[in-house]
Amino acid sequence: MNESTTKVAFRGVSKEFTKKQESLRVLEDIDLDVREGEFVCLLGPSGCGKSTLLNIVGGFERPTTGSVTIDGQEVRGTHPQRVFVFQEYGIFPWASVWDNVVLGIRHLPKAEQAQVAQGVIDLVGLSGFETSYPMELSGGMKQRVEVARALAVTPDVIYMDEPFGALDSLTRLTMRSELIRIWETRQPTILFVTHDVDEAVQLAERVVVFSARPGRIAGIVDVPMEHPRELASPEYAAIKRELYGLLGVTRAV
Amino acid sequence: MGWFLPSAVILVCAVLLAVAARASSATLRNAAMPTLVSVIGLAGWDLACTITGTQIFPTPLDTALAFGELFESQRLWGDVTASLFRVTWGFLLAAAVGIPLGLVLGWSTRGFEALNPIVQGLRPISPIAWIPIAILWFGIGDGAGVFLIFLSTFFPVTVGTTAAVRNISQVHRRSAENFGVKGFELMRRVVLPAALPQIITSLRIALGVAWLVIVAAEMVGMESGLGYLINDARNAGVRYDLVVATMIVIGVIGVILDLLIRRLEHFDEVRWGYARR
Repeated sequence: MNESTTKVAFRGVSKEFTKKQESLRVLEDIDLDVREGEFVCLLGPSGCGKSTLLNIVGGFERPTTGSVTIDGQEVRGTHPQRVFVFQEYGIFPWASVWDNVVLGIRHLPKAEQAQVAQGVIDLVGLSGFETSYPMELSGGMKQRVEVARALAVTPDVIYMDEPFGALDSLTRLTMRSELIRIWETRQPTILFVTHDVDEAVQLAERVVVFSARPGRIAGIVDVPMEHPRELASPEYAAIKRELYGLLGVTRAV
Repeated sequence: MGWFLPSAVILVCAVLLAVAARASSATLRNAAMPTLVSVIGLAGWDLACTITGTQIFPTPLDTALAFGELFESQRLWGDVTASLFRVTWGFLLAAAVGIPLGLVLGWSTRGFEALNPIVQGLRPISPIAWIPIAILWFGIGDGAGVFLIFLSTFFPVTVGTTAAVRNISQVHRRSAENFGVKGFELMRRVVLPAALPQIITSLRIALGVAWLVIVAAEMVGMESGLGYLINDARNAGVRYDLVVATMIVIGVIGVILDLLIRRLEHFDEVRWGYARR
């Protein structure tokens, strides 16, 4: 993989929302390049606009000024190969696991669909649950379905908006290592929004830290650690310290 | 002596009820309590008839005998089918028009702006108020009944479906958009299934309303059906025993209709919609 290829480029992206004649600036002048196959975490306090930035690159919202390009093409809407994974379960509760997973590949011949779907269902560890409905699954399993649905289209970019936010902390840890395993297998570009410093350090190759509203980039921190990462290492602690510093948070409670 | 037997029955049942309430077995409680309460109710009814010395209002026994008469005369079956016929067709027509219309109103802002005021304006008019117009247009046969049931079910179904579609969560809309689901496929794969649990609830409400309205409509403007039977029993010979027996038939059929339509709630595709509410 060519390390220097820019996949996603943000140039001077700002976003304002107008509510009752009052305009609210949530993002200011974001410049950022994401490399092909890179895992980038967008880290910041609640309301800093990091989810808005994800919605913009995902094609759900337009920037007020500036532009976002992917592979040199300006983003003007959603794209079936660039898939969003939502925090509050974007999978369809009226469809079985299988029917959810084949949503993005419904135009393929049945045999091909079956092969791809079984592959990603096995990859996320849901073998045997193909005919289950989401309401019969735990929160972690639902999120696995959503990841499988995203993987089925062989995405080149995956956007994740606090995807594990609704899970308990143990499940969240498992899901993180699963996600890393999947990322290492498939090498998609991942933009991952979180407000959890540990999550960012555990997952990302690079962490982009946002200031509070209006969101600006406060700093970008590299995480030059191999997976699996040793959570008790001095290196891990040092990176966490740096991130807390950028967030302007005291390190003692 | 007319008061002695029912009083004794009430007393015995009350004691049994107190015992059953403490029973550890859930099945016993679930089966015994309603039965005992019903028996107390019947005995109370009988007692009230004896104490007031009414000549017109039927005792439970009179009512049971009236049932026999209704079944024997074979008239009941004709009236039941007449009422059910009108409700079935009016309801099905209303669902066939109201569900697609509600889907469109819920999804298209322009359609909603254009048609919603009319729907909201017509909705509060009681279907009963339409009876003169129904008779004017359709005469006093089944047509008027079907039309009235159509009116009474069309509005709850349309409004319920519209609300259901407007309630579809943003993540599901965005998921569909992300995977390029649009047009008719969007309706079939996302909008309809997402709205279906609430649509079924509105159908259930609508069927309940339909069963209320048909009886009233038949009492005022028709010459068959259970509503007409009640009116006829009263007018033709002050037969309140037949009136009460028919009322019970209406109640039982209403319960059966509700049980039947509730079966729709058990399909895998819609169960999610009822689980967390």
